[in-house]
Amino acid sequence: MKKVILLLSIGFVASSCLRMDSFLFNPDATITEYLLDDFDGETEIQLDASYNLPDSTQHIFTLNSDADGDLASIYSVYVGDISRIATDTVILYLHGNAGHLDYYWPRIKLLANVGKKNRFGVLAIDYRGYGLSEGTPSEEGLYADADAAMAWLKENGLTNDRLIVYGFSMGSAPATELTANARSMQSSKLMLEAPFASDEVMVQDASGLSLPGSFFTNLEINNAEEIAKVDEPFFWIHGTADSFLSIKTHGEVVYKNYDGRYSVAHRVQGGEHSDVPAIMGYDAYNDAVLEFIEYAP
Amino acid sequence: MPIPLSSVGYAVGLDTGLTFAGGLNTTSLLFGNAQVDLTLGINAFKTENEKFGLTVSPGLNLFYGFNGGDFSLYPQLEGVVWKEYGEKNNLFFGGLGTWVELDREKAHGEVQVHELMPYITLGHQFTGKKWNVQLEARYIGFTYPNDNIVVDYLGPFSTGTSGIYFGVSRKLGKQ
Repeated sequence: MKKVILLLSIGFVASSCLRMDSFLFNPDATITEYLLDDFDGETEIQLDASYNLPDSTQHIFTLNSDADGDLASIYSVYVGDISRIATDTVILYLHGNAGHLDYYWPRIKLLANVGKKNRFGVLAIDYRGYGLSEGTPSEEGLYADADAAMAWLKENGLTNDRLIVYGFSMGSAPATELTANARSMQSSKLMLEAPFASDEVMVQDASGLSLPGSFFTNLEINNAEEIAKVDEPFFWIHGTADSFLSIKTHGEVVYKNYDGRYSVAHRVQGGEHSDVPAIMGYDAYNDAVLEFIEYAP
Repeated sequence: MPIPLSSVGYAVGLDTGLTFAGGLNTTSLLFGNAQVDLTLGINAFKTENEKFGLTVSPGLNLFYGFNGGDFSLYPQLEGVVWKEYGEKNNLFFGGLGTWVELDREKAHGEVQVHELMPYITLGHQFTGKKWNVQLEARYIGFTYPNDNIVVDYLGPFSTGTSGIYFGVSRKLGKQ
């Protein structure tokens, strides 16, 4: 006897998320103003008062960014003397996927303390949809917003040889993309902290299988391939205990694929995704950053 | 947050000890992928009173992504022991299965070290005249650590992930 059965099955797999697109952007747009030192919410790292900077060196302003016709006014903070951009070296800090500028303010301050206070200018932006910045986050938006920051630096007199780009986590995407495929400016050095290799590696880490990234996401971020186009000196730092972006499947792959003229790697023992400077020690971290900026050819 | 994975399927008895089943993962379809599973259920062992048995099911999982045009294929093998009980012939079942990873390469030319994606399954079927209802728990990828990856999976001993499955089946035609 033939038996025919129609099945309807619903399963619940215990995971925090399935679509990788939703992983990429985790903005907080609930704030009404930037508080910087007065921000009492969660921050990635905590610094004591010795890292505080003169108020006169903190400038918050907006930039206009155009992502293929998707216009947005995005917020930026420049730490340093704007009138000296024409002669200073500037670090463009591209933050990660969570929160907003206040969340990353201690990291920005830390970079502004490299060498000595305000030795280097530091520019950071909130991508569209983050903090007070207009718009909705998107991959092209990341690139356009970072490029808007470079365009502003160029307008203020910065030359390519004095531009350092530092990308943390998700910020490694615009940092690598705009170093590999320059738009307004060509950065002279690239620094990546806890970079991710590509959306496909995220998919394969999550599934344990060699599934194509296109099954889950339309993102085309591919730091592992873009880094191969970069010749500028490359600084890579990653925590060995990173539970979000594995050093093995993400950071090491990006580092291995770099084929430029100079690279330095810092594998920080016990460092998690967001606490590498703290685990490494702020002085050691700042010394490593300074050494790279000053001596990398 | 748990993600619902839904599918619709169709099964037909080819012989007294052989069942063919096909399923379409409707959640995958919503994500722009055609995910189809095809399995052959073989009664490897059954007691004379047909109350206890072992079913072995080789199968194939096929994926096609409409966005990128990518295709993936995963052979599957599952062995399930089942025990019927009571007047209604409800049954408990439990077993072991695995997907097979044929690709030895991952993204960016990295070596794929996972050859299998094993799972343990344990469930119960409430058997009705026309309708069956199944509840099933799975422990997937239990041989692999689940830390240092981008997803926060919930699995015992920081390995694999757990899943709860609810299934309804309607018997059609002559029984």
